[in-house]
Amino acid sequence: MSTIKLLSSDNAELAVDKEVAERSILIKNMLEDVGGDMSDQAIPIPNVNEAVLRKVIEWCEHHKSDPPPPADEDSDSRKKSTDIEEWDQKFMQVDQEMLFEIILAANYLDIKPLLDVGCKTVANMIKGKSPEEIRKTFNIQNDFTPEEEDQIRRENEWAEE
Amino acid sequence: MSASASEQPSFPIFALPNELQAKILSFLPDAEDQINISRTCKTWHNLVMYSNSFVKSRYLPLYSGISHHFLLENQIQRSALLAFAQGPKIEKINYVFRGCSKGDRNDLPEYQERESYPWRAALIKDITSCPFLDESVFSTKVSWITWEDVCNADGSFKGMAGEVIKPKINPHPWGDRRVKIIASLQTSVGDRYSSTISSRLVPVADAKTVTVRELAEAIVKLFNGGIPTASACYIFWVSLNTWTDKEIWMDVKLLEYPLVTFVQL
Repeated sequence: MSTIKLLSSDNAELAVDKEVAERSILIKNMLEDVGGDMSDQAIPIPNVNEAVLRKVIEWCEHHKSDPPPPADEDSDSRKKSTDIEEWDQKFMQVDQEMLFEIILAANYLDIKPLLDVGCKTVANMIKGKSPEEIRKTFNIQNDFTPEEEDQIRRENEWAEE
Repeated sequence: MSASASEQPSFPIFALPNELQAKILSFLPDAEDQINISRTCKTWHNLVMYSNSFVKSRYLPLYSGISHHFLLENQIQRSALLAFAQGPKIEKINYVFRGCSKGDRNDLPEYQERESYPWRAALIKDITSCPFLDESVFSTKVSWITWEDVCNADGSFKGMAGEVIKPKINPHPWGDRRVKIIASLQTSVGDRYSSTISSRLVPVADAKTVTVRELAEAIVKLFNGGIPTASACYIFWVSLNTWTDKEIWMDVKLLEYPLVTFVQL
């Protein structure tokens, strides 16, 4: 199995199996463009630092045998599930900064299943929470005016038995 | 450290590009979450209210290209709108989520169990001022479905000025099938009436701008005349007629105030 090298934004060179790296559509396309031979030259990944790149590679290694995601994404978001498999749940038990960095990297590297897992993880942190709880979780500033806030308060009276 | 912990992140969620924030929020299509997200901050309010993907997510496929607003959903009789009216005037609209409690969304019972859940086991949200109510009943993507189509299901009807309006014939994919809105009315004492309101609902606005709120007002006006008590509460939702699989039904249940006070706890 051939190995390629990836160069992170902070100049760390990481060796990775070609099959694993090709979970990234960006890298896969780059390799195809150069005829697949990048054994002596590291591929620069300028938007991703070493720590994040190592995490992404860890995910790609675990999922290297997964079938490719369906090309035609179901646009009906109602059918979207926030279910995450157990290994991915543990993988995503990182601090918020790393979580967002992984999402950014997955987006940049075009690894849709990883992007979905990252986005679902954040979505699960929002699900079922009140606006105030969401703000607290993500340290979001409440930027509604007092009038708007008053309106929201009146709208937001929950009752349950 | 777990990502769920509250902290002061050096990389705030707003550092993510808008499209990624939208993608994250798109995994939360339920009305309850969308309402909460829209009330978190202005950025997310605008994202939820106006981005195409979110507006689209508020419409549920009903039948063969027809989508209806999710506030009118009847997914295994899970939720409904509840309009409190004094006479013909709506005073309050609640969104009712049945058979679950806050934070318990993943533990919804299966269909049979949920069927036995009374409305009292519901989560209630006052959405009288919620802007989702001012969105159209049917997805505007379905250009051929018009309010007249709905109203004219049984033939011609009288317009607002008393004029007779003939049903339109549209070359839509249903062939000669018609969209109907049929209401089944149930009072608190168990009397049950079935009434085809399709020819009685007066179109309140242009087809594409008939909103959920306007539909609620039309329903209340329609039924108010026949009900002895002036104060009433209406629970209504849209569903597909599963007998024929060809019609859209509007189910309306009327409850009198004493009966519905339990959901006001």
